[in-house]
Order: sequence, then structure tokens, then C-alpha cells
Amino acid sequence: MSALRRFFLRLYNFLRPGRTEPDLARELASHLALLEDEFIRRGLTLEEARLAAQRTFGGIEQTKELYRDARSFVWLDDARRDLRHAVRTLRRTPAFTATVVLTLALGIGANTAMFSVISGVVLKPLGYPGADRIVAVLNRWTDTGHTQGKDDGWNETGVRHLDDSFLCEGRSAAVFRQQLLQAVHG
Amino acid sequence: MASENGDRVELLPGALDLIVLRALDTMGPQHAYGLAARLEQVTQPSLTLNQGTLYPALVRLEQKGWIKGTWQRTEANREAKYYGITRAGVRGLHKEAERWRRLAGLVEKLLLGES
Repeated sequence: MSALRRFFLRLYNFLRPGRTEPDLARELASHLALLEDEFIRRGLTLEEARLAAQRTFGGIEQTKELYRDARSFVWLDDARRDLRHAVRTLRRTPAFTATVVLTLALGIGANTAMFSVISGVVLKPLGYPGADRIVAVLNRWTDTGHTQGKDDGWNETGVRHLDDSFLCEGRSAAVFRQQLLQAVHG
Repeated sequence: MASENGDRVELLPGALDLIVLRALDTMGPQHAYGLAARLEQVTQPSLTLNQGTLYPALVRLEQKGWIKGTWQRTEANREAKYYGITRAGVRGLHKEAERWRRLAGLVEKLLLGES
């Protein structure tokens, strides 16, 4: 419960940076003032007391950093600072920015287009059931080396040699062969 | 560090939070300087803290809702932020102290077994 509460407060402090800064500065100033009072009470001069107070306290900027670390998420703060710096740098050099953006855009675009084609043609299975068993039956004349596609008509011999595990136009090869022979021989 | 100050100890993670909670529980509301002065009294000379190192612990505890800081005036009429332990803080203190004792006991037992 308390850990959750702390998480959300840190997140809130990240979203509203600087919200607690004035309070921190005020608290540190008050801490130093109390220390100075103590040293003056021990008999130091004002100037000596101020130095002694700072020595006892340790680094003030260091303390602020430690405090910020605990208050918010430092890595998020750093990331935001880097991002802001990057944007500022890019805005200062528009020609360079345009070149880079264009190069990246073209590179990514070309890659995407290429992958779409490869994915459709090579990687994805055909949109039919049993797509891995679809075959094209071709005739080849051994004397001429001439090949004839299936569009030129089914060849009886070819169909006869088809393995029964293949699918022909949605039917098993056995059924298809039977129907084809029936159609041919009447 | 160790070669310079052989008898000085470094705080384990979570120890400072526990110490601060305990001090606030026994002493009532304190400002950071008061806390630091008190801790120095108790822990010298084995532990010397920069007073600034208290602040992260104070933020952690306040964000957990275990302590609450309010601006008040000191007896010398200086303004200071006084931290007081909350009811959730008292519960947290008991829980954390218990956890600490268990861990310390375990380590102690292991060390005794070693020798």
C-alpha cells in the first residue's frame, strides 16, 4: 500500500517537475540557518559559522540531487532531458534533419514493401485448405523438351500417376481421377 | 574508505529509514537538523553522516505516508519543517523493525556457525 502510494507520488512528481523545488530550497536554507545558529552559540563569528554549517551539512547541490533521485524517477527525468536536447539540436539543423528523416522514411518504406511481397509470395501458405498438397500437373515431351501447362487440358496419363494423397480441385486425387476418366470416356 | 577508517561502518539499505522512523517515534516531531543532531549523538563515532543524506530518507518516508512534514517555528523563532510519524508510520516501523531483526538474527546465526 505504502509502496504503491510512493510509486504514484514519484510519477506525479515526474509529470510536474519542479513542483517541490521551492519547498526543498526553503527546507535546506532553514537547515543551514539552524546549523549556523548552533555554531554561533558555540562562539564562532557569523562568517565562520556559515562555513562550518556548510561543512557539516555536506554538498548542498549533492543533497538536492539525492533528494530528486528519491522524489521522482531519475532515469525518466534523464530520458526526458535527452529527448528535449535531441529535438532542440534537430530543430537547429533543418537540412540535416530533413535528410535523415527522408533516408529513414525511404529505408523503412522499401523494407516494408519488400517484406510484404516476400511474406505474401514465399512465407504465407496459399489460401486453400491443404495448401501444401496442391500440385500443378504438366506434360513434358521427352523428345522435344516441350512443356505443356494444365490449362491445355488434363492429360490422362499424368492424372493416373498422381499420388492419392494429393488434392485435385478440392477432391482427393482418386475421386478426381475417377470423375475425369468418366468425363473423357463418357 | 575502509583503509582510512577501519572502525567506521556504512549503512545497509533501509537502515537509515528505520533509524529515522524510530527516532521520530520516540522523540516526537523533529526537523531535519534536530534529527541529524540526535543521530550524531547516538551513532558517533562509528557512523558519521553528512546531514544532507537524511533528505532522501525523509522524502521516501513522506511519500510512503509514514511521516508528515509541516512548517513550524522553532523556539528561536526560525522556520523549520517538522516531521512527525503518522499512524501508518508506526505500523510500518513495527513491521520494518521485525523484518530487520529477523534478517540480523539470521546473519548472526550464520556468522556464529562459521566460526
